[in-house]
Amino acid sequence: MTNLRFSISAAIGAGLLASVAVAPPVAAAEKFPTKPIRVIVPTGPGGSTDVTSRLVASVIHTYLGQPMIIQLKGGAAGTIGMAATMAAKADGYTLVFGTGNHTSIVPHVRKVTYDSLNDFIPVFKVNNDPYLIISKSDKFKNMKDLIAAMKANPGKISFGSNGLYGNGHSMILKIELDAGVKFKHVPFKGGGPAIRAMLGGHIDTAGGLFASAGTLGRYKRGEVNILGIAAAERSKLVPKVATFREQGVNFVYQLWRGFMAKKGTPQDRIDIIVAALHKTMKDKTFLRLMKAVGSPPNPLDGAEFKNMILAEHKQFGEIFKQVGVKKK
Amino acid sequence: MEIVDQILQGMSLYFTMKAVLMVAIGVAAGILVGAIPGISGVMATAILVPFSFFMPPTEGIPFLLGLHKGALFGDSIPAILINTPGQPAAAATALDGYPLAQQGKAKSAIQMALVSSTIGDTFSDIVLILAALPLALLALKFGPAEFFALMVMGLTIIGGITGSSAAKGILSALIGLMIGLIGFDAVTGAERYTFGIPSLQGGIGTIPLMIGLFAISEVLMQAEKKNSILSVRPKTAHLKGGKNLELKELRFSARTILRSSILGTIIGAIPGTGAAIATFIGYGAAKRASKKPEEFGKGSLEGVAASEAANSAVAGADLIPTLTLGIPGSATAAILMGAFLAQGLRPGPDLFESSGSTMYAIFALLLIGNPIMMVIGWILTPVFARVVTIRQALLVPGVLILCLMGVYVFQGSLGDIKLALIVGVFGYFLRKVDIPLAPLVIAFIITPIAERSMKQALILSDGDFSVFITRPISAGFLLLAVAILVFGFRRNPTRSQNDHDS
Amino acid sequence: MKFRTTEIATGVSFLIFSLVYVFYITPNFVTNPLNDASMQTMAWTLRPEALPSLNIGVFVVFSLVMTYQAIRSRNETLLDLNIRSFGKVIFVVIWSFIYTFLLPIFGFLLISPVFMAVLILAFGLRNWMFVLGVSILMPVFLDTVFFQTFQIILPEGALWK
Repeated sequence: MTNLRFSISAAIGAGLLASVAVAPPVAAAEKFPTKPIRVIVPTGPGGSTDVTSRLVASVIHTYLGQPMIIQLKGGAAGTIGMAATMAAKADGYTLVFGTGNHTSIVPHVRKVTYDSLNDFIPVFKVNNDPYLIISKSDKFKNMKDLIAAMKANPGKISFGSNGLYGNGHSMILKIELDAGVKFKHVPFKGGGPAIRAMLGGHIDTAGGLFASAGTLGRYKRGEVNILGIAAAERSKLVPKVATFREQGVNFVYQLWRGFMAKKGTPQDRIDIIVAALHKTMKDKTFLRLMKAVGSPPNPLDGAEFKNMILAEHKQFGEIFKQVGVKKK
Repeated sequence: MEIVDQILQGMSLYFTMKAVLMVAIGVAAGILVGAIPGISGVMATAILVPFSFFMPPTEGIPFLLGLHKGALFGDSIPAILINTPGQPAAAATALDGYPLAQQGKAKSAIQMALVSSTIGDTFSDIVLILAALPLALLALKFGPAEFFALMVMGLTIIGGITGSSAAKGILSALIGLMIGLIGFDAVTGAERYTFGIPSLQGGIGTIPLMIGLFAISEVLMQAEKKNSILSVRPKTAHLKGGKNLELKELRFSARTILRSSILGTIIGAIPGTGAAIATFIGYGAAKRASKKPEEFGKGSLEGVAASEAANSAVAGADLIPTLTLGIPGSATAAILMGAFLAQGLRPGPDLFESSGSTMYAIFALLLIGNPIMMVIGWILTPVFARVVTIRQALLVPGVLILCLMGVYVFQGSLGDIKLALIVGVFGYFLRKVDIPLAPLVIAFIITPIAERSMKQALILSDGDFSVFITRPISAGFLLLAVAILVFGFRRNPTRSQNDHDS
Repeated sequence: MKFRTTEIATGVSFLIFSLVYVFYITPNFVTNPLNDASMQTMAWTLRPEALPSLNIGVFVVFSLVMTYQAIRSRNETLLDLNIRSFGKVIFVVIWSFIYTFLLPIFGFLLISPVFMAVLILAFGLRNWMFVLGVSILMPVFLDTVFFQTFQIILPEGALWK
């Protein structure tokens, strides 16, 4: 028995020795932040959210004084990552980098342990892309075409979405409501496979962003048509594409990506982060990279950001209520 | 002679010594990263990609390409040495690689993996260069019905690797199916078997499942052994990992390597299939065609060759739809595409018009990466092979902690560690009763895709089942599946009769 | 115990599991409350319980086959297991679970050396240099690779927060 006891105490001694090597420094009364900031990304690796967060992180340390460390916590449509942010201290050292999907759509269709509107402080929006509905160019020219075809063949025109009650599906629910038509909804696992199926001619329409599988490039080449853009006004990138509103569907959805903090985080710390982020948005390297991946920065912070989220949340709430969707 | 001009121009710009050096660094980094179980290729690529942004285009892209290649070889190393596939694609490698390591032949196993990986990758790179666009367009014709048929064919190979008892193999696959059902049903939105646990909504993660099933069950099996064996150098230690691969062994497997390369390239070119499926199909096909099928699963170098050639062929094939159509074939390809975009290249049909010269240089770099990988891999192999000389008493705890942490970083979840442990215990019991693990993994990976594709196809056809037979590609794969089953079973009765009489 | 006994036991437990599966676990489905209307009109093949039901049916069949084969088998090999070795297996499992529970409290770098040292000793290695060396070096190595190089966060201890 003594052997075992001795070995255990020796092991603990070893552990203590090792931990001393990385014990956090005694906190000096320095300016925030004094240690790295953890950013939880509630998606899987490789998606646009993950990549965007890493781009920000790769530049911001020069402005913030401390690095941002990305921690992927995907699963359950982002609810796990959001919940993890809630479980951390509201001291400004834990942020979540999420999207409009997490704040404004998911809480309507899944049971969540948090209030995405009130438990989180919107800190900074990095960028946003308007949602689009697309089809191959030989199928439909614009949404009027599409709606006419759907009225002639109810339930036969297919739409490939990135998942049940995800961005795309929610979008066509609104189209169905406002135009009085019915899609044949084919859910896919993610937007990429849906667009692939569309390009292969298996699906009539799909949803996505400019950067989804090179949609913007395809549009310019004439391979696909963007039937409508879910923005408040026409985009300079595609001036010929009419907005949803112009075509009779009152739907605006800019898929934004941004930082949020847990409620209770001190405002002065948030201000420091916001200031550093603003500088990052103007950083030359950052701009070059963001432009290259197809999504220029479009910063927004403070009350405006919060109001944007509130409006978005309300829009989707109404859509789901009218369709008869109840939370799990 | 415009093409020659373009090639020369591209080469001078891109094909510099520095670029080649970056390929080499990328390959080395990829091998080392791939060798750590749990850091999957996707994650490693995602993390390292931002580094590449700060390098000029001439360095960033070669680095990433090398990384991609190296990782696909690298993840065979833990599969062989400690029965821990770094990625699902390496699961088939572990089936034969680990027994080989236990027999003291780790070095030749790793070398076989290296050579097969290199050949497979070279093959698919050449196909990429020569036939990318037509192949990609063909791949686009794969709709939900075709995917379903392909998955069904993939499932039939389970029949070939059931080991001594077909019933046990099938049970293993059915268990894999059950586990694969856990999670959110993409088509109906129903939650299945999640028991209210939110982290299960996405299903059981592939990494915790595989690490638990293979690595942790192995840890437990080692724990059974007498301490007198565990605390001293293994009996095979004096071999220092074994002898080098012999040319005749390579020649014996040459046909298999070629077959797996072809299969891997074709399947890899279809976006959304993934290396795992290519590997299993390659392995299954090799076993069927082999002159020594009974050795598969017990330490057959041919088995290692079959699986590694296939999954590395996917590396090059992955890029086919990515570069020609701008449609990434897998998560890693998606990240690579992002990197390409960041460097100013626009993958898609006009890639060659806008950046033709650059593309040729990139092709050249891809090809050069293969011999580089061979050299670097050959040098690193003895280092890795030494692992088998470590006492189990030290190796097992080390492996355990490595795997548990590997599981943790997958999703940042402690619950995953507990899950992997539970799966590990389950895997331990399965192995005790001689129920094979491979069919479980295969079914686990394939059935969700199969079910989803079937339902998608049925939605599209408004419930008409004939769609699977009337569409030519789909019908073709289904026919193949039937043929495999029929001819496969004709072999089995004679074998199981022998088992019964003994 | 004999090999075929374990096989039979396994077959039987699979059958019992199947019963539980069919009558208890499967009703654990959360049917889609989002849009119950669409569920009623769905074809059986599209329903979420279609594949599981099919699966468990085939599972029962093959569990029976396996059990039957085990009963008829004349395989008399003994299972290579005794109390001491099985005890070690159980110890490793329990100790690993304890490790998982202690991780969020003490943090990776503090508790991992303890974890490893106990295991190495349990496997019979008494050489202090090896025990301490590997117990400290392995977690440090992992920390270097995961955290310093890849910036992947390993479990942090609540003590430090």
